[in-house]
Amino acid sequence: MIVSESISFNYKRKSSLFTDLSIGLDNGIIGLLGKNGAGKSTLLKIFAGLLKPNTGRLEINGYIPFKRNPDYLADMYMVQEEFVLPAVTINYFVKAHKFLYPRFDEEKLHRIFDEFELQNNESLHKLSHGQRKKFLIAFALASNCRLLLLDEPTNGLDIPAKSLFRKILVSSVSEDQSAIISTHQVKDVDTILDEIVVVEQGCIAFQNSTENICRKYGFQTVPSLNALENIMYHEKSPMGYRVIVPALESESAIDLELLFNAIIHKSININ
Amino acid sequence: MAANKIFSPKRFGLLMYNDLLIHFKGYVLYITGIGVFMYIIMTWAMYISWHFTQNDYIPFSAMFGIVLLIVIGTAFPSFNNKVTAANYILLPASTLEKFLSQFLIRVVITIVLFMFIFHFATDLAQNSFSPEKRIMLGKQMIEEFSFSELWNSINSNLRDKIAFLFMLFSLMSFFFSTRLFFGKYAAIKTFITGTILVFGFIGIMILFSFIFYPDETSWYRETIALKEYEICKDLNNTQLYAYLVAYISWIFFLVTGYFKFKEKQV
Repeated sequence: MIVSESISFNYKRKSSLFTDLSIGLDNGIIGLLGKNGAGKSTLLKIFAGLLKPNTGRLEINGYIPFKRNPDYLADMYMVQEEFVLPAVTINYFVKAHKFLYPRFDEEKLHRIFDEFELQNNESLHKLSHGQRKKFLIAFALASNCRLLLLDEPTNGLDIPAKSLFRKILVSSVSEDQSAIISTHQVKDVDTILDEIVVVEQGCIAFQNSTENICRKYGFQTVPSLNALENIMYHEKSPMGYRVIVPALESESAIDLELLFNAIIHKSININ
Repeated sequence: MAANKIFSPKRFGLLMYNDLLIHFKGYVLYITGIGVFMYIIMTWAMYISWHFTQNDYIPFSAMFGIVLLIVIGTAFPSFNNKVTAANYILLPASTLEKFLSQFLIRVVITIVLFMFIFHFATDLAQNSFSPEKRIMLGKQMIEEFSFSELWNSINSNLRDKIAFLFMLFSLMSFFFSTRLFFGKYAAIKTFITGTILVFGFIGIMILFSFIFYPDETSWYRETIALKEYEICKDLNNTQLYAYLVAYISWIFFLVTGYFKFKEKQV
């Protein structure tokens, strides 16, 4: 569980990225969305304990991240957008790291390896960027840490791998875990999220569970806007218009890209 | 339980295991490379020398000491770039365990290994020559290397010798912590900072000499006027100052290095 109150942060000699950021997050798969430069990766780094907020309070599962308590680090795994892996085989890497994570599940790792078609004896340096990303995601999920921070996890994955990633993530994250996925490619994760958080201009512009969103909003594609009342947001599409309206009688699938654009254009109120 | 979050022997062992497993090939290459290099240098030096004495080992041990400092300067290899630095910081171990594991591997084990390699390389080089070259007219032409002889060849009292060892250790501590202070391009930045420190120190000495002893200082004769006085028997103020710097500065480098690491943001 993540609780932050009035966090502020800025990089050296740069203006404030977060001024008064407060957020509470429960377990589940959480999508952290925002435009480029909104501070998604920075927020993940603050959660990981790599950066220290200037002011405010941040507590994750009872720990203050920047104190870098080893028990916290053993229960948290971060997959960064950019990564460098040592020149060893997969097997070697796993051998060297698995004991540092008390809840590590080697069987789960091999199951995910099978799905991602990774071999134990392959050298990490000889793998393609996408395969290395798959390896890191597999390792993160097998670590069974209660907090998983995934920064742009679908970058560099091909289309089948993206859908495989969604499938594996949903089946791997248990009820006592939080997986926070930071991405600007909203389509890659739209079907798997339990909660959506949008960061904009240093604040949380939107935070709600997908269940609530479905209950409150309806997403439709219509040939013309004339027949509809109470349109909250609309965008032109090849089929006509994609619209957000108040909840429909039957629940509709969330159009995350449309919702994100609506939030960014301030057409939908917070929560 | 509070102590457990600062240091746990089990976690420390796992961290060491992790480091050795990940860098095993690199370490083996380092050791082999340095051993071969030392062997070649020693063999060449013995070959061109008519009579290779204990004193002839001194410049080579000094050279080996410089190589040792450079190797110690490679501590915290992950701090070369931000991504690997983040990976290292996020490894599930305390800051003290990470700091100590680097110190143990890059300083303690490296020193022991270097001493062994040096001894082994000199022995091997010596044995590469025929008995005729080694012993002529019943005289040992290539003398055997020994650390105790090297120690005895330093022409100073015990107090100076210990101060010398502490000064070496302070230098090692400085090189050990450089990546924590400077991160990228640590070697170049260390060189520049070291140069600035030395010249800054000399500059201040000159400035103070001109201010406080204007009659005894000039740009043509003495630019630094040092006033020496005896503090007690066999100890003057300059010696005391040198001893203090030698004995204490390693604490400064290690402690500031540790806190720099602890507060590091990536």
